[in-house]
Amino acid sequence: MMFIDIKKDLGQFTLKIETKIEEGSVIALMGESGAGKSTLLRVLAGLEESKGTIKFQDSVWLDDLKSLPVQKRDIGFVFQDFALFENMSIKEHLSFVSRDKKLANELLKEFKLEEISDLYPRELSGGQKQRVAICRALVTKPKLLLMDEPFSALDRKLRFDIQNFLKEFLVKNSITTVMVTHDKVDLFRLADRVIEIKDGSIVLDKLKRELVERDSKISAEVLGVEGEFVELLAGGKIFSIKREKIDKKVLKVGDLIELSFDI
Amino acid sequence: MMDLYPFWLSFKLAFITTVILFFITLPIAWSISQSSSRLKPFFEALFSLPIVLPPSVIGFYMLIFLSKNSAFGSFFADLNIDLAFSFTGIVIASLIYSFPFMLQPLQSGFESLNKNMIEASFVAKKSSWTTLIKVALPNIKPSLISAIVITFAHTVGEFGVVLMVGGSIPHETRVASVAIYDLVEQMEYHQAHIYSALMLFFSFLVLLLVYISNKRFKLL
Repeated sequence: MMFIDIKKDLGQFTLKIETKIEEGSVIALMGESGAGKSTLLRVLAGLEESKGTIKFQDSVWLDDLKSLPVQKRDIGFVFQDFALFENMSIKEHLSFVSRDKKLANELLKEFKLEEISDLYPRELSGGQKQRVAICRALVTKPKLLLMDEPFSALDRKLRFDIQNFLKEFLVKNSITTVMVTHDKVDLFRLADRVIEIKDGSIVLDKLKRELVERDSKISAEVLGVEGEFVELLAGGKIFSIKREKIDKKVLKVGDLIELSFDI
Repeated sequence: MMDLYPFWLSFKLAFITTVILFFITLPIAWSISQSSSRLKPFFEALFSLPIVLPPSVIGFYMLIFLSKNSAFGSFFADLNIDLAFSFTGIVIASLIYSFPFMLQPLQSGFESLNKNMIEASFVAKKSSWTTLIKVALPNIKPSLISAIVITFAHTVGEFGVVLMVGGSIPHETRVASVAIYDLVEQMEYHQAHIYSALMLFFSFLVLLLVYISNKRFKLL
């Protein structure tokens, strides 16, 4: 179990979070830009100072007397801007942070980076960089994984494949995860629980199944069908889901369909 | 036959100063760049003093510091090493005089790095020292080259401090810039011309090297 009770003055408002997180669960952290989501991740990582208490399993990460340095917290962090080491190839990124070559090779394969593993960040696209950043965070098998918009640069197909792999990997290694996302599809595919923050405070904290029960159906407009994916517009957002998830046999652009959140 | 020994002395002095300063300033530049202490401006101002102080002021204090009357000077005097008016003395004076020229490019190089990249190394449980050597330093190559080349060139061109601390002892402290001064005083303009032209050529070459390497690294 992870206990969080922190307070940090951010100028316009105070980030004040008090919650418990079950070990191995995946939390989706939502909220508008500037709500304090990224700061919360940084506080949990020990990259930013704050007042209060953070306990993870048996160890105290933060209290009135001490703040455990980031190096001793056993975390993985996927930065929004990827934060890759410009002087290291993809392969070197993984060998720098972990000696587990077998896992590194497995991750390179799963994230489709195997053939380009000798390339440097300056030679990579945004999506490739993001995959390297996720691999680098996973290869250490951290106890706590913190991800800031981890799928924003990935295309649909890859996003699905990576999320499927990630789901299994997190469960298998019992990794507690907190991820900042704006994308409801990411949220419903990966998270067990959703926490929404506004002006530094929690305004919504629900398990995914409670949300699904509450909002089990949404209405979506078909924007296009491309191979096995369907592009939809719902709640003012555009997203894609696999064709097989939609019961309707014939789909045309402009059709309105009813969609379960739990996709 | 032209005596090129002053040039050899200048380059020897510059080489030793650059190597020592690199190792002294590297951890200092890194610590300052990572610091958010309120004392940071104090140390930045202190370390920048040699840029604004007249060489005669630095030279005067260095003379006092190196003389047998000071604790530092007398310690070396007990070991039979005279610091004032010796090559060792001008090396120590050069370390002070050229200090900011090595420190500042390194510091600004570190400060220009993506903060998250450094933090990613800390997240991977790497110490501050490992992060400096494996992540930060390899990513500030243009600043590193600027720091080394400018420190070297600045020390070669050093005049006032060397003259005050070292005097003009042939084959000991008579570096190229001091030799030119002596030649002009002795009205040996032809020789002074040759020495000066060599210094001009060297200085231009150094600056050219800095700009070419900066351009190359920016393109990478």
